[in-house]
Amino acid sequence: MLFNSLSFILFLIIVLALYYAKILNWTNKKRMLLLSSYVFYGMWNPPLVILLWISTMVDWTAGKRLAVEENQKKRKMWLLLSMLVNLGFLGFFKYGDFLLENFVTIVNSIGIDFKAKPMDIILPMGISFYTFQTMSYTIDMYKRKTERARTFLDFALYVTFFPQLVAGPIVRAKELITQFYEPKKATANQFIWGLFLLTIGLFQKVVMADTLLAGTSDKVFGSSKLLHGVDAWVGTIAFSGQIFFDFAGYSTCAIGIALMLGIILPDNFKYPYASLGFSDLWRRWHISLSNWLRDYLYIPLGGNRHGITRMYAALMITMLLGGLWHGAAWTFMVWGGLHGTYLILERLQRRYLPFEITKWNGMFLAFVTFSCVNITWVFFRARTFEKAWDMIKSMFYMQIAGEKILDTFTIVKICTVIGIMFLCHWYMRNTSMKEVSLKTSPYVLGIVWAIMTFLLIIAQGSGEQFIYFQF
Amino acid sequence: MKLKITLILALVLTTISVTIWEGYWRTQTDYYIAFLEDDRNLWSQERAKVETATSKDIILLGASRTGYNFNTHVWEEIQDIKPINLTANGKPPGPFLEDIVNNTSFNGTIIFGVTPIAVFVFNGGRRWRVAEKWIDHYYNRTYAQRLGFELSKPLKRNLVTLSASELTAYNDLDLKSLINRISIDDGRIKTHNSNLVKIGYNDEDRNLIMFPRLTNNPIYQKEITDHWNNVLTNAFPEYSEKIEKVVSKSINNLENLVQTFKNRGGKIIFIRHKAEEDWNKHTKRSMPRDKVWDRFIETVDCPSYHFEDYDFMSKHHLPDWSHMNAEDAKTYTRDMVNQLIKDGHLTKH
Repeated sequence: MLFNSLSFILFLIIVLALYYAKILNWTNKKRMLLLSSYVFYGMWNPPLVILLWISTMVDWTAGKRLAVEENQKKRKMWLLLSMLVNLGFLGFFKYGDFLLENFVTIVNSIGIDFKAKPMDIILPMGISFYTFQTMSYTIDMYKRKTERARTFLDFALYVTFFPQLVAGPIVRAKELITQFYEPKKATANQFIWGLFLLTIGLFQKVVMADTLLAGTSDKVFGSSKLLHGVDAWVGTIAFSGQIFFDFAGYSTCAIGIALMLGIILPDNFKYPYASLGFSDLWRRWHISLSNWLRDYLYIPLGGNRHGITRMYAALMITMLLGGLWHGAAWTFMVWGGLHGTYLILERLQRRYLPFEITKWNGMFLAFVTFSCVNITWVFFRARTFEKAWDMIKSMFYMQIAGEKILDTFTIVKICTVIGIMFLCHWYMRNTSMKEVSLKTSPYVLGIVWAIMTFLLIIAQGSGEQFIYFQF
Repeated sequence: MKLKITLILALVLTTISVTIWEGYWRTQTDYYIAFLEDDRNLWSQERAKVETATSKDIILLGASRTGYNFNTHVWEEIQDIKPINLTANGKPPGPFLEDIVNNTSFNGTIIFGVTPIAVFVFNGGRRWRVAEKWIDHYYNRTYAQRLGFELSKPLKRNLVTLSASELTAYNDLDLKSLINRISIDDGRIKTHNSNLVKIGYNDEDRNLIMFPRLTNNPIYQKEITDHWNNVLTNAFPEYSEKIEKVVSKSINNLENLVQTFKNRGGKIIFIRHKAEEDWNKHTKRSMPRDKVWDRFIETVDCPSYHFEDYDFMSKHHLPDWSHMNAEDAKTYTRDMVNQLIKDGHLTKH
């Protein structure tokens, strides 16, 4: 079910009515939330709920045994079982066709004539998110960093909690399960703020991403022509804005909906396009995934504890796998590789060419960071290397006489929207929406809310899927 | 935080602004009415009927001409069978025929409306892909999408504000269409500098109905014919070897489908509806009858009706050169069904 759909509005009203009706005690409310979460997921493809159940059962059992088992070998076995099942699901459903394709290419390259039919496997929505979330529980249990979930119901709800089930934030057990232990109820202010966040999230998705930006990026990246530099840049920055508004919009909706239930989810985005460098970017973009990769991949690979070379290798491997997490294609690996390279270069600069960031050079640095990030988006969005390379050539004027496919109004529109977005990120980078709202008159806030809602209604979103659902 | 004040103010202002917005567009009765707009959901609802259709049933396939020119209610009055209306405005009917032939066991009658430029193409670009998307939607629509469609019905039936189609008619009211009306004409790229104005609406059986004012209002007619003038020259290249190849390829593809369908007992009847003025002129220039239509009918060996051969098919004036108004469509449907019965292609039940 999509947040930007009428069916979700009806679903949410029913859930909230049952949640706040006095007919259910806390345990039954949790049962209702669990059932609702399965309905939320099953309304897309009912049989795939079984994967959620298997993942839940395996990690619940592994966690239960890890809580009491002292034998290190057996503990490792339980951890391995969880990893095998979760990564096995991910490997089969997400990377099955990709692995097969590459196997065929390798076999053909050594002269063996082998053809294989694509398996055409359905990608279960949000599988990358919920498998990472359940794995984090088992790994933390293995490392004795978290307590075992008190009841199966609490654990199952942690895996399946509908606001963040299909596109995060990826929440750690200690952040979410513990909130299920005591009855939760949003205060009036929390409820209204949650509704406000839901509106902002939908506005970001429906108005900003789908209405203003998606058409241009689709047109540019869908074109088979070699494009003029301006068109290539405008298409790229349009995608840059689209993916931010799309994904940050989803996270904001998730946080808002959870808050309406009295549950607090962590921030997932903190104005990333005003980052000063790439370490800063990954502290601001998809924070829950960055933290996951840092804690369960980068640090176990050695982190910065074993010298510079090992640290660079760990960084690069983390970013390459982070790229692959987003999609089963080599273009995503290149995207991750570019970010890995940026991070390494940034560390080298800090070591050999350190300089102080002031208010004067800060904005310029943020702009340079944003521009470099835009280059990586080309590989993220392009379906093939050929297209990505054509775009890069156009963007850096390595070919002349590229074709113009965007009209002047579209160029002005995109540059204005992205310019405003960049400035907003810059002015908001050291604050938060909550802090700003506290300083804003309730009347001004009401007018802003009304404008967003009005635009949301007349935008008539056609229920476009969120980009991150496919990851 | 005084969020209660904020919420109340937001609710009041939103209600007022949406009411004013809706009220304003309701005054524009020449262009806007509230109705359940035809889209992939409504098409899928109709397509589902094929799964239980019998050999007595009829399916209508075709683009906008078949949609506007036939009225399934009138058809039902005469034959006592309401055709399953799978016509699709602005989309080639080829992919839909492929779907019926390859993915169903339907062996009744297909009435296939032929607009040469929409039919004699093969995997022909954006419109072809949109048609395929509709078919994909039918097979892959989720329960959430089905529920969403049901919930949207009362809203769309009653709110003019929700006037937005999957075709890019310039006078849609969704935010994207409203923004796209703005243009800076500095010649950066070549544009046709014209957009298609909506010429009608649809009922919930997917019959397309021309706005009544189009019949009598020459200014409105000119808005549309000017658009055709702009796009037709580019849309219809001169008949050439290149076109011949495309036509041959599409005829072969259609022939295979028709044979498969006939082999399982199905009947297919091809109808070439009337076009006037520039529509007719450019069609003749690009896809001459003897080189395309006649050759096609000879190849597929099926009953066929060309508007130039029957008075009842060519007697109506087309306000926009391409489609019939609602009243003429009723007469045309009646005449067509009676002719089909007379010729033994349909049976009166």
